[in-house]
Amino acid sequence: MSIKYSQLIRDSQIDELRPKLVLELNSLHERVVIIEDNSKQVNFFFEIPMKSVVYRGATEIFYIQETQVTSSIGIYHHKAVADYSTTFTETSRYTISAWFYKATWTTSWERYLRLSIDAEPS
Amino acid sequence: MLNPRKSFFAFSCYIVLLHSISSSTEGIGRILGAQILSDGTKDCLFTSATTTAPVYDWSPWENAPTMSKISLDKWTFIAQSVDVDSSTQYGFRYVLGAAAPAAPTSVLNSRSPSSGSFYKLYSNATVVYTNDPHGGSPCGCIMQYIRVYTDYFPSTQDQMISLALMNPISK
Repeated sequence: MSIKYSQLIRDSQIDELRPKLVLELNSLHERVVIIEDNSKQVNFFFEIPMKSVVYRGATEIFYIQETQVTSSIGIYHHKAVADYSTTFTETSRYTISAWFYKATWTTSWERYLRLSIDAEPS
Repeated sequence: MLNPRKSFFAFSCYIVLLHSISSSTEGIGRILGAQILSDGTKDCLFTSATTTAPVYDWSPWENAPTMSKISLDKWTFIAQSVDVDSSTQYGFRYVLGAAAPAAPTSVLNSRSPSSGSFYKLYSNATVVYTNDPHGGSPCGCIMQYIRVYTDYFPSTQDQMISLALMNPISK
């Protein structure tokens, strides 16, 4: 993947400039990325429908948290994998991913993600 | 002369104590995780456990304090993949410039366990995010698009970026 070009585009709804990246996936497909900084959101859409390069075999995707959630002292968000599939039992190949928007720094170890081997106490 | 009963009792207490210490400091099997030491001294973004080490921090990660690589008021993508059979783990950090159409920066690294092996993922696993009841501080962040992929092991930058940019409408 490479950056084909980048430019600033004007968001007509709020009359502000937005960074836009056009990423070339291969000779047939490209992907457009619009960064909405002010609303602290990242929006992605495609100018050209692309074939997914992600899926293979029995891959399942568990959408743990699609909407924005803000970290807070004493709040421990957690989701059980079993809630996302009735067929999944185990795998030796897996991936976890997330987007985060960094707002502040603390003064110790900051915990972002943990995939535990078994259930968390509620 | 050792009393076998007392020895067994003492050994059992030791095991219980060991388990309680491990659980209180590391959580219940941190098979994958992301963390940053926010005093700017540690080059560590990811961690995990192996069958012989409950804490296997990925350090050095990119030969610079991780805090210096994470910008305030920007979105950062992180991903960690594991293939237990090949004893390989990949970590990925990806940043898009938000204030200007700057080039994205990304880091992709791999490693193997120093001892033991990585853990498989089972259906009774749990994802904990933005904070951890077993210690540390909240991430001081807004988090979104947290996803777990089973039977998938991205190992190239293109595959990782594809995860980063994947929108549900593209499926």
